[in-house]
Amino acid sequence: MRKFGLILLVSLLISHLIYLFLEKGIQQFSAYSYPRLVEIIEGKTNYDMLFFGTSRTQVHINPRITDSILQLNTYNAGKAGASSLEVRMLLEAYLTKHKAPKYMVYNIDHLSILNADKVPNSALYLFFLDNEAIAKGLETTYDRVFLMKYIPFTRIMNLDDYYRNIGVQGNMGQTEIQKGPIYYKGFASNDNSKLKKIKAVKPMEIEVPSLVEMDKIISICTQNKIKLIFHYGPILWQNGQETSFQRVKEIEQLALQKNIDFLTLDTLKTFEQNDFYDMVHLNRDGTTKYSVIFAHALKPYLH
Amino acid sequence: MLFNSFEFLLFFPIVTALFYLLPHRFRWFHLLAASCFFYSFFIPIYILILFFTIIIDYYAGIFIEKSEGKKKKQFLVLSLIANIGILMVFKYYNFFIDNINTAFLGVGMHLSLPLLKIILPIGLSFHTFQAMSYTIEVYRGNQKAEKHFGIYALYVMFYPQLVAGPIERPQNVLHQFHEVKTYNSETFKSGMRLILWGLFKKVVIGDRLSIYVDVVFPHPEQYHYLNLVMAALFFSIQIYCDFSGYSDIAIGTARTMGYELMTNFNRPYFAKNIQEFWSRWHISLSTWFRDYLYISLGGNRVGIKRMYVNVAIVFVVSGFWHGANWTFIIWGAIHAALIVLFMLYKKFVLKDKKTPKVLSFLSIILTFAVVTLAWVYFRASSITEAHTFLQHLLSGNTTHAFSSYVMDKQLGFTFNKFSLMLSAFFVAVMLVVEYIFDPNLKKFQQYKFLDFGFFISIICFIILFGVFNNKSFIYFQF
Repeated sequence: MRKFGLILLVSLLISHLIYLFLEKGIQQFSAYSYPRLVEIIEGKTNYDMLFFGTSRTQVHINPRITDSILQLNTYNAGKAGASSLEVRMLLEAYLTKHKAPKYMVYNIDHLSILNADKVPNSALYLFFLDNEAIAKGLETTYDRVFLMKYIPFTRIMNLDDYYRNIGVQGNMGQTEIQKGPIYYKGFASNDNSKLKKIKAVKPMEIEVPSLVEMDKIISICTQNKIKLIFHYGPILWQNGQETSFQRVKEIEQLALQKNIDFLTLDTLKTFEQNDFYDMVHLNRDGTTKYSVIFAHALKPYLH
Repeated sequence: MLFNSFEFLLFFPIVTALFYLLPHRFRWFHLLAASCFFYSFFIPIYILILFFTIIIDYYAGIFIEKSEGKKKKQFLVLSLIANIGILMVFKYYNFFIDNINTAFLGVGMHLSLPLLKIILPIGLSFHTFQAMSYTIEVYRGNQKAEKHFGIYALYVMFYPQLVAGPIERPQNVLHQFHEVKTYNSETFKSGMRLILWGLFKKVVIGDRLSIYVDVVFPHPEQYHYLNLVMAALFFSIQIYCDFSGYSDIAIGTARTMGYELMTNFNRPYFAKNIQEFWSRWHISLSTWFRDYLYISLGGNRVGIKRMYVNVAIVFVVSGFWHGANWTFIIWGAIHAALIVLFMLYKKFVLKDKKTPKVLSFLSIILTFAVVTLAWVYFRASSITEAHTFLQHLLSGNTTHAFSSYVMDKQLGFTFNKFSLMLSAFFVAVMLVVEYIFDPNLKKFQQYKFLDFGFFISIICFIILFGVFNNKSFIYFQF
């Protein structure tokens, strides 16, 4: 029995050391994604305005432009595939260590109102379990979060080979940073590739759990005196395709129901195929153009 | 409860520790209660089905032993009807009704016999077969009827092998429950070694490969033929790691408490021919069919043609045992054809000649290739899917680009080049270890220094490279 104890101890120690090596590698590889989470969750800067939403926030709004036009300190906290649950979790996590921002712009699209029962692409959050909001939010996605909090190497048991792989790559000096995109205060544009093939955009459906989360976000903003503004980013407009208009209308209605300002931009026809990277994301030049229009359009909503 | 779950990580040490702490007279009750708890993690109400067959078979055993002649046979038939009846209702009823409805539709008649909305009780085919082996052995006079109801219930419900075998024989297990077991560090260590080895095969290899298999198999038309070759190969390895992994954990768990279960796998992919493969794969089921079906049909005491027919029947029935789907029947039929062909080849071509070593190696590869192709029917959800898979694979479909990357969107797990490298490495580790050591890894005891390294490496591999997606064992569905 004593020998088994020793075997177990040595095994756990080795596992822990290898885990630390992989964790370091994952963080180093994620040279854009990880530091921005550190900034949102543990950073020391208090921002005036935060942009939340999915990749359509992350790649569309350049804080360098919004800072200069709005004369505010803004930060792009958008995250690929973020559900409303994830946005609420991030907002709560931010508020635990920061002063409440004056403004929050929430870019709503179909991913914001789907999948509200889980936090997708949540692997990097596992390094922030000390933050209560993050630990609680991840309980929807992982079993036994408390184990991962106190026995760190058990986190690796919830990751797939993509993360094991980048854990090794990161230690070998490779990173996710590419040459084409612009990176600045949470913002990461696409490169300047242009959309070649036009595809149809699926119509969206609003799912009830996401509305519950949406209500929680509104309530957090009210409690913390944060002015919340809903927004909808550009989608390549096609003749005869009603989907984009239908989406804007639905979000507008949602904003109206919740008594939230909705930033309506006539962007659907402003942007052409050459501005797009794919059907729902602008390319680098497109985002520069868009950020300027967006910042100017936002001005009247600020008090 | 799954062996690869957090719950089992707590359940196993508690049950094993209590087992040794309790006096012998309470142990049967402790194990029975633990087994009920273990089973109730699936669908608790289904435990009543187990109780039903246990009561029937317990009394059938006693009455068979007491009776003579026709009456004795009647009690056996009663027990068999109860067991097979349950199998028929829960596992095969919908299959038959569905086929009858389809057949009538084929001749232009609309007959819609109602289907049952029931979920198959987990491990049903395993414990009913184990229960049947008890009454048959009592009938044959090879086993005395068990008078202790609790011990008999434990024979059917013993948690390590309750849901996916090995399908035990009463002569091997029942007497062990009466024996006083004392803690033996070597036996305990040997059991632990097997548990970890089984877990390694399941979560490090099997579940990793399953990510690829589960994505590619349902849509063969969307992949390059090399992707399909990879998927077929991966499934072959996955099913071995999954099922033999389960068996290792089951045997190991029982062994930590001093109980010895029968070996279920003996390096089947090193078999040089299909007959040898079946003497190494799922041994407890193969021997069950040999002892209770093949021999009952006359075995090889009948004419040569009849013997081949008997062999074919056994394999088709064995296929059907796996699942109520034509894919399993075809899978069984393929193996039946392969076995009969091999027997003919052995009789008329090979005779008593010895195979040269080079050919032996080629035979291993050929046997593996044939078994792998047959697995396609086993894995596919329908015959159409299996045919599409094989059609695209064999025609060398290159419409889509080859890629080793897939993503299981439901799980959010990827299989990439790194997964491929890890899989290749761990499969090599498995093959070397299983080739060098016996299937029960008992030889490890001779090399103390290796043993220490083995335990540490396997625990680290499981923690760091295990795929923990709560994936059930493939054979649980049977």
